[in-house]
Amino acid sequence: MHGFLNDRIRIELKNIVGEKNIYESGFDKDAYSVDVWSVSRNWVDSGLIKELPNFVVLPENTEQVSKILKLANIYSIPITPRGAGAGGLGGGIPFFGGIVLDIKKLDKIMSLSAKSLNIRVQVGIMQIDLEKYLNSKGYTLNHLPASIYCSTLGGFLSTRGSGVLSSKYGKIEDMVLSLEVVLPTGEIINTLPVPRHSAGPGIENVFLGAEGTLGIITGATLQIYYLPEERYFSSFLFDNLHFALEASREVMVNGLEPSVLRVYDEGDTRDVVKKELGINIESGSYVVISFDGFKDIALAQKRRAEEIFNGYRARDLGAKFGEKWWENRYDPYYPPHTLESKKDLYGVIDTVATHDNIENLYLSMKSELESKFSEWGIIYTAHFSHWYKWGASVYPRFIVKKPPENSHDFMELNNAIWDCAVEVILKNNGVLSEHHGIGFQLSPYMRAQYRDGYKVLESLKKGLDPKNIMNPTIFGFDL
Amino acid sequence: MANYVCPVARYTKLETNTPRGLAFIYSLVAGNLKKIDKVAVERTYQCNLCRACEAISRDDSSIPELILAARRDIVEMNMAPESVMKLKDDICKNSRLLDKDWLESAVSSAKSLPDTVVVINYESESSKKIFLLIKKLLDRGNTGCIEINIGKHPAPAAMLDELGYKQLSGTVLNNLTFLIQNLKFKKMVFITPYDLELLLKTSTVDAGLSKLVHSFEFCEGFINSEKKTPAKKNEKIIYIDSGGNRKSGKFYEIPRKLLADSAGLNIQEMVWNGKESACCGGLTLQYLYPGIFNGVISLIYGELKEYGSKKIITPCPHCIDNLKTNEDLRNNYEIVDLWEMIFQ
Ligand SMILES: Cc1cc2nc3c(=O)[nH]c(=O)nc-3n(C[C@H](O)[C@H](O)[C@H](O)COP(=O)(O)OP(=O)(O)OC[C@H]3O[C@@H](n4cnc5c(N)ncnc54)[C@H](O)[C@@H]3O)c2cc1C
Repeated sequence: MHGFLNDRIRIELKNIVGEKNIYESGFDKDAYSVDVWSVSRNWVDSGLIKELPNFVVLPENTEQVSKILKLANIYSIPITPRGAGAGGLGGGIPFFGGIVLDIKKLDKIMSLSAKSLNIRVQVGIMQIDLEKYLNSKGYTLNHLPASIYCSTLGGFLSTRGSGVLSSKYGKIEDMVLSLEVVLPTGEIINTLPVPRHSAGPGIENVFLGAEGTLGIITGATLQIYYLPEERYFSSFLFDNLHFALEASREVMVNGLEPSVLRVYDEGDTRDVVKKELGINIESGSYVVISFDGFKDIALAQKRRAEEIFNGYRARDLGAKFGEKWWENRYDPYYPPHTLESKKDLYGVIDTVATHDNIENLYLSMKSELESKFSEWGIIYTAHFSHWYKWGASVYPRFIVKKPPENSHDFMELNNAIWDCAVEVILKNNGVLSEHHGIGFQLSPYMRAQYRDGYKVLESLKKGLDPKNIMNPTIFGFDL
Repeated sequence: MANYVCPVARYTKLETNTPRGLAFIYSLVAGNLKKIDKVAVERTYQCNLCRACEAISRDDSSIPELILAARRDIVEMNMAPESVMKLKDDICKNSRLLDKDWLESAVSSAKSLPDTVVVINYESESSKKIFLLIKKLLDRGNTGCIEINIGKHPAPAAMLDELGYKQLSGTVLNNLTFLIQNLKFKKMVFITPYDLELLLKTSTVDAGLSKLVHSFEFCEGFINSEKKTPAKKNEKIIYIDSGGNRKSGKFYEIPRKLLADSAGLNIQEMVWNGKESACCGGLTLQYLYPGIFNGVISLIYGELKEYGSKKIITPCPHCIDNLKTNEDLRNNYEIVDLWEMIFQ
């Protein structure tokens, strides 16, 4: 950005949000040039990208967001909405410079209806703040992602995030009654007050998962729940992954409602479960399942699930490990910070498919990645943690412990791994990304993913964001 | 990634105030990609060193230790902000533990008291009250109790250490050790835990360390031996944790245990309590960045409003003083000292 324009924008931004809410110094801009995407960090550590945004701005209310977008339209300045930067796919990185619009100061709780059990909030609120607030009043959102301490509600709404209780309570989009959104051209709109109706298709789904490309979500009314009377946990060891998946499928298609249902593949069972729970398991597939709510109903469901599991000769490991998993569920995600960034190349290729496809998808991806990238010693493990009546999601992680030192080669290897995985996913009727969104990393695949339907997205983008200023790298729109 | 357990980041919302953001800054500096500048210094001193991030991380590697190391470097490079130097000077001027003459006279005047309990106190009404309580209780058993008032600041060694003045902090600790070695006493009770913790962590001499206790431990022992049951009350009281030492846990457990033993009390735990409690940074942050200090207290105030009670209880006199700096809190809440209530 030309110095003159830069200066002009600063003055105008100052008039909108005040000087105290604008950051322009090197370190502050650097911190907003990365998110949790390992490639972005690798590039910063190699000195290849720095200080990407021109301005980091923290508006304090929706009107200020609106004014900033109007300003950005006048000067065609790219806008990157930012929650807490915990996205793992580069979605919050301002590759084209411009303004990072950090929405975390929009964090007010507007109202709570004890009668309809809903809450109206500004979505810059940290998920942990929202959950603790609800807990203090005897409620919960039942959206408990591992990143609860480091992500905003807006981030989850914009990536269609999911938490550990999703198999019963759904993903974040299932909790939404309505949204307040600032359109790319600055108008503030509200979606219909409730999501189930026949007044046309409704519009909240346009913004859920759009990662800021079609507007900035500023407010939401969400379904809340009473804290459960009881949570029951059980844990099982199956002889192999196939039995574990089949048994879990039966639980779901028979209409049982486990809040937690996590199936670990043999690799995760051996490594992660051993490390986290201290159980010495050398083979088989570990499963943790939980039922919550009224005691008698949860207990009855638990017994039914156990019967199904017994039919697959599952070894009952008791409640203890399940309870331990619950108590320590966030721990693996909050390792100590170290000075050194991790040199590993890693990624999570979370994918969702029907029961017909999910196992094969997982197996094909595993064999393809392990054979094609064997020279890099790729490690591939997975768990299946979000279940539906019609299918399940798989959460595969790959790690290359000794990736190329050169950042360009690092990126190339990263892309080759993703290309290979995506090919398998699409071949097996999977949908790429179950709850982590698209970000920069997955944008090039969206045309292939949506096929002809991509036109619909493109038209929406053209209509809503004519100057293509909103998160322009995401979805691979060609405007 | 436990970014928003950090009370400072919860208030400012800025990513470079988070543990991850700070680690990021230092990694750029360590990798020679950037030099420490004014902003890096500012972010480094805006951390309140409450150690919540460390407490919920899974091993001993710690961002607060990185911050302390960075502050020492900053001091060495003469880049410390003016407010830091001013506070350092104020601590030096107003802490008796750095005054040789005072030390000598303290030792000579209190030398021959083997059965006495010595309370290490500082200039604050709330801590004075605790001292008087302890004294009253000990008087009943004919045990002597004297107070050694170390001056304006509750924990000069910890504060200087926090600011990056390790050597000066070491001098305070040496002088404290001198005091301990040259006094005769039954127990030495520290009203706030910070200097005691630092001493226990760094001391290489056996200066009767086993006789040193934090007031929580001392009061707990006293209550246990007296087997007192506090008066019954049924009103709802909100319990606020002190920032304290998060890893040891005892500063969280002792007051809770006492409250649990106090039949009839209707105690409301705050949801941000225990290891995750919001610490306002009353040791140094209140002088360096009063805006952030007030901001964190306003977070606490915001949470308090949700509980529908106008009475709060905390075991830490320093927290009481700090909470009272907030006008809303001072005007709308009765702040009760846990020890005062229990002993009464
Ligand atoms: C340790 C760890 C564990 C994780 N576990 C989970 C998990 O269990 N479940 C899960 O779903 N995810 C998980 N994630 C991923 C991450 O938490 C989510 O992607 C979350 O959405 C990020 O939120 P954020 O506030 O940090 O958003 P950011 O990373 O800042 O942004 C994410 C995307 O949304 C856009 N955006 C943000 N806010 C808005 C807004 N208000 N309006 C429009 N666009 C916006 C950004 O531009 C970006 O494209 C995990 C991540 C980490 C690091």
